[in-house]
Amino acid sequence: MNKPTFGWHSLLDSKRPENSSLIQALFTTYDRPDSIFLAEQLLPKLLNLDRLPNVEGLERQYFLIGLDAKLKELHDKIVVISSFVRDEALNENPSDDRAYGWVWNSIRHLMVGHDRAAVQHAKLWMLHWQDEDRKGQWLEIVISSTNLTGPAFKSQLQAAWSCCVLLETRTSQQRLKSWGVLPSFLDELFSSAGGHPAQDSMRELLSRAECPKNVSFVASVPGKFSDKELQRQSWGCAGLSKIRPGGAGRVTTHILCPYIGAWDAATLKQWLETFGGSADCLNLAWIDKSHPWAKNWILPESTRNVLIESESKMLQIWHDSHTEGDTSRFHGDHEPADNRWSHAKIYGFRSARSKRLLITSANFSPSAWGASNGNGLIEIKNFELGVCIEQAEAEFWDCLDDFDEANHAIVKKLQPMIAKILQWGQAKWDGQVIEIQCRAKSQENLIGTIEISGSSNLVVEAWQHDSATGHISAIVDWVDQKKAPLHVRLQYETANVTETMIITVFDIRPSRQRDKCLPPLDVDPETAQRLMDELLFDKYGGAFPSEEACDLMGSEVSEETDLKSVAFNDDYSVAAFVFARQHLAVVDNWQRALKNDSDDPTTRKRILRDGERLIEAFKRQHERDKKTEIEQNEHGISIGSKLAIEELKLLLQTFSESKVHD
Amino acid sequence: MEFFFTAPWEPIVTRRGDALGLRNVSDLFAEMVAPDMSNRTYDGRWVTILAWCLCRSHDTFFASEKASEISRDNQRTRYAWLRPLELMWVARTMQLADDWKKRPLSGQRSVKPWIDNASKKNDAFGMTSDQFRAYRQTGMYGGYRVAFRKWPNLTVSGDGWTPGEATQKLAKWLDRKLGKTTRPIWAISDSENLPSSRWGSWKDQEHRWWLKEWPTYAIQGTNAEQNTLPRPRNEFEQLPEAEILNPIIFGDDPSGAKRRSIAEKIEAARASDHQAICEQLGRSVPDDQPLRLLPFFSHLADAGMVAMEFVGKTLGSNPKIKFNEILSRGGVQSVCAELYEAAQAWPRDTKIGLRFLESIHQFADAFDDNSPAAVLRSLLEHHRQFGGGRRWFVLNGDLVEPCSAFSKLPFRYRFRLGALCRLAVQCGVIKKMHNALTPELDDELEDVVDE
Repeated sequence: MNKPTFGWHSLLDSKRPENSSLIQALFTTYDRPDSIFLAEQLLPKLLNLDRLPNVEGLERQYFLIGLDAKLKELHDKIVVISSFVRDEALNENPSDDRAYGWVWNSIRHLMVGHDRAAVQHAKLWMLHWQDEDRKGQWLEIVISSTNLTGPAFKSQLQAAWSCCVLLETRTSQQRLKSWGVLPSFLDELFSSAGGHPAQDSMRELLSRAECPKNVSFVASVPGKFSDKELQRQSWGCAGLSKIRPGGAGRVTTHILCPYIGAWDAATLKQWLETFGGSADCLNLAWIDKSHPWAKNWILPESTRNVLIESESKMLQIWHDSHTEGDTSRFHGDHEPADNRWSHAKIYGFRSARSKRLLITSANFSPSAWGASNGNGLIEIKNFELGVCIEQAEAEFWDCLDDFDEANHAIVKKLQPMIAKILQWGQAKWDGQVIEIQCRAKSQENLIGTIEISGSSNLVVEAWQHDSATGHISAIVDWVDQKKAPLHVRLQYETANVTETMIITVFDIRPSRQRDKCLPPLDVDPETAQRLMDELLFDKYGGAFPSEEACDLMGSEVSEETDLKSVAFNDDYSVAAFVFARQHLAVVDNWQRALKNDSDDPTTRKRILRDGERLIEAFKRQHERDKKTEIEQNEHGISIGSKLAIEELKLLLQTFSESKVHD
Repeated sequence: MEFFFTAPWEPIVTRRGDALGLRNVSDLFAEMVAPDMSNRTYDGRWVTILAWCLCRSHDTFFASEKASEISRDNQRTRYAWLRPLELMWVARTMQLADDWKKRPLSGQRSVKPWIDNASKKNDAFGMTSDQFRAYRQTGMYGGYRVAFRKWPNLTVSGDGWTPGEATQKLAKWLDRKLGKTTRPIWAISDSENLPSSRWGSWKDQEHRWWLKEWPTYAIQGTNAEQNTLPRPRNEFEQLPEAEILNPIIFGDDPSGAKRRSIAEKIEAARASDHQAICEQLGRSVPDDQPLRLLPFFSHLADAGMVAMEFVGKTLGSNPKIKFNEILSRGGVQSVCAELYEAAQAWPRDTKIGLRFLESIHQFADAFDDNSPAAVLRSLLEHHRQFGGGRRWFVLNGDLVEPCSAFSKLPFRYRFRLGALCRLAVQCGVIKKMHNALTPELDDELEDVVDE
């Protein structure tokens, strides 16, 4: 059997079956999720969007409307959990949330720390897929060191593990158990985020699939735990005892992490003892001060001294952009000129021939793994998640040499974790009021500003304090159904401290009302409505303006030309028949979709709703067609849309009646 | 299951936003002066090369697809056979021209390492799957697609795909110039002699088919530089194929005649800068024509963008600055006065009908107080509310904070005048490129060149 080794490819290359579509997804990230990265890079792939975000004119408008429509279909089915409290410096500037702030009206963004301070550092993706004919479903799981930000993909080299497992129809406790600590980790995570129905659905998915063989999970959750509690549920370093390699000898440990915490000799010893390791068998891969990663990697001097004194080894990662042979490479395809810095967190454990490889979010720090708090309890500060693969190995350890002088290993001071005033927040809008909740150490000097799409900002006038939960809350009236609130900016400002928290606003209105909101488009409302209608027709196989028409942004919207004349510039005499055929084909396809998916109540409901939307869209189309008839002196163009309306009405009535009979 | 390191990832280049939300209007004016083009249609040689690519890929598409026509469903496959040729021309130019960086070559950043690294020759020109997919929009044909649909006789019924008479003429001209040493072994439009292939096996591997069947693509040939390669951006000379291109771009059809007439007016204009050219063009039409509004719009949009850049430069790389700091900078008075003056000059009571007129009114109306503080606040508020795409920066209370998409490069709303005049020079319609439009051409190109 081949020894499992590291591959080399993009995290965006999903392993899901071809032609499958996303049903629900969970993402966890440390840094605040980057809406530009989500909207322009990740979501188009996950949602099978045809259009590209990076172009001008109508093509971009189609992209925005298409993305918005898909997100509305998956309303509250994509959940992102992140951290607000941080213990690492933010390396890159946060990106602008304003261009795509509206995606958070449909994607649920939760923060950990609902009840008490917590740091969310795990990087887990759980993606639920369904194939085109709805016969098979899959769960794709990715565990990595990658945050949901552009720089995490572009400027950092990450390590990841992924699998895509077929889901059985029925759930089973046995199968759920096969995932080890993962279901409990999800419970703790969702609980810290204030709860969400995705907790149950993700558990259910795990209970429908067997965990891949030779794989186990190692997780940390914030809290203070007694030994007894850690025996019951092995969080943090206790989890390492479960994955220790077989064999009687001491365990040799290799670590590759960009961020090393403050370890003293006793805490380090305690950490090593949990899995049978020892300091003199510990190997830390590190860099010297001339290495290009030096500005991003952190090792406190005190920790380096502890490592040297306890005879641990420091292995040097070399870099020389000119001399290929002198640069340490993680993989055969890792080019010396690759200017990304490593954000991977990898641990290797070896005892005789028994090996374990841990790919995780956990840096080598007491915050991630836990340390004794002096009261006999182990205190863990972060949510972390890793996956251990049996008998797998990272070959690059063997290519690293000891530092000539361990003192040459670069050190950098740890930034002390700041006690945040603002700790947690969430906001939602029901069409009448925006409800804001947050957890803050002080209500004084708290300013809340709500940004509304295409409108002026609102200021939060009054805050309420709930002594039972410790939460601070506010309710602000907002009834304009076409302009959704985007986010709340909480600002705590005194002479000495300034803190800002951005809370996205989730739209909890019924879907009919949500449909009235459009993303900010660069076209007038009339054109926007037409584009939306066209995308809806396209969904059911309707005629779609050709790609070339999209380039005619300037002329397309002028008085001189319209989309129809682009499409039929040489053949207008048959336009009436062509349009009628196209419109009726949409109705036929809609009817077919409803019959094919009649078993699935959610899908059926969505298609029936599409039927209603199609009627509205054909009514608007009818008005446009009548206008074209006058402008082009061409009769009969509007007949097709009228017929489509009539037929759809009849069909909807029939389907509604049959539902009653059922 | 698998575990891996992440391979380098290049996000697809995103174009700059429309900072003042006026792109629709500027596109509308562009259609009035240079219809049926895009900002990227500025090299007649690329029209010739793409005509050749269309003809060459036409036969391979029909051989592989066994289709009888180009439909909505098979347009993707049709393009899949064209794309490798576009990129092979990019690669050919990079290998044959020392000054390739001065030539319009979309995708050059990926193609360069692909050329340099022989072991990657089977890759899709060094592009990730996303970049390769996006090339349909970002690539060379994407910049000329409108032309191939709208210019006379380039494609049959303006479908953008089926070579028309003019395309065939251009393609044959270029094929002759390439000569037997360089062109593919079968003659152009000779589908009978296409190399036999198991076409099904080349699906999604069309680039490999082309690389296999056209191995001589980077061979120089006679006068290759002058007769076959895309022209450097700073070259304004008549092309050897001008006689064929002229009736296509500046023919007797209404749009062609319009392009010719505007190019001639610009050549004749005694104007020292872009604004002066717009003023001359505005004056050249009767009072009730929308083009009359061009100089007012151009003045207003330019003044707005100068003020945006002033804020951007003051902000520099700071994470935030106080609004008052911008007001204390030298030059703020004149920048704001210019914007206020341009807004007041905008003819709010015009009777001329023009779509999107309301958005210009809205922008002009925002400036009702001439103090620099009021002007800049109104500008930033307008940018926040109406700017298209990503925002450059935002005013939060008394602080101006940058957004990630802020571009430090100058940007102006333009109307394709530079591209039009260059084509006119290349086709021999006018003799000389207007000096005032050369920097404009650079502005227009900036968005698409990915060096």
